[in-house]
Amino acid sequence: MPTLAVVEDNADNRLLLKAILGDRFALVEYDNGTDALHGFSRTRPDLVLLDISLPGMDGNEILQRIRKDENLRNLPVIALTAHAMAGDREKFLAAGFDDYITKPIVDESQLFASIERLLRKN
Amino acid sequence: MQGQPPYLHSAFCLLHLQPMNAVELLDEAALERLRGFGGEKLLRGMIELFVKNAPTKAADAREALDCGDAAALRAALHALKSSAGQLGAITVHQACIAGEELASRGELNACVPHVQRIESDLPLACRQLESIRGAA
Repeated sequence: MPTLAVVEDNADNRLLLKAILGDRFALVEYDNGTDALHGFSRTRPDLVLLDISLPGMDGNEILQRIRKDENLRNLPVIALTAHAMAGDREKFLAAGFDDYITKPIVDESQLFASIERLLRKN
Repeated sequence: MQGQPPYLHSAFCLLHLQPMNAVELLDEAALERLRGFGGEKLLRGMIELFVKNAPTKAADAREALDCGDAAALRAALHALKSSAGQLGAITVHQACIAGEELASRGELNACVPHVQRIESDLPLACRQLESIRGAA
């Protein structure tokens, strides 16, 4: 079973992702970037679902640190964010995210499709 | 906007801040969606966390507004936005979207009615959600 890391400070969003994804993937949850990067260095997940607006280190900074780490740089990272204005998708993809999913989550099939596509690719 | 609920088209149209009746505070489709994702257990858990955490985020927004801190206001409204949207707290969600956009442009005075809308509707939405949780 592939392991997904969820980096999300909102407990309700973590609960939701666990309910949606928990039967098909092993989930490791982090509520901040520092703990997440420390955890990735010990156990590399197969994919990361990364919130953007996190306290302290934000999702963009976490992504840049992942991309600079030779053991993690190819890790697929999906931006999971409530930043859903016109142009945000292009902005996040240009920053190096592999995909972009908006919150609130209204269609779990979109989330599954993105995860499965990236896991196959990697 | 990708995959967003249909009511979002009116997010920037909170020009007429009339009192909403109780039924309009919550989007039943969002609650049904949560039931579909994880049944009554998930819905109860989501409501419990929202009722516990959302008032703090609303208070953070008020404090930021009163202090004239646009960045903190934007962050507080953003933090509340996805939770309110996921649980279908429509008017709170819309006020967060509109307020976050205005705060990002530093238009603090224009944020006032949106923060007031959150302060008036959030307790009512939480009460309704508690009733749903109790019945689930």
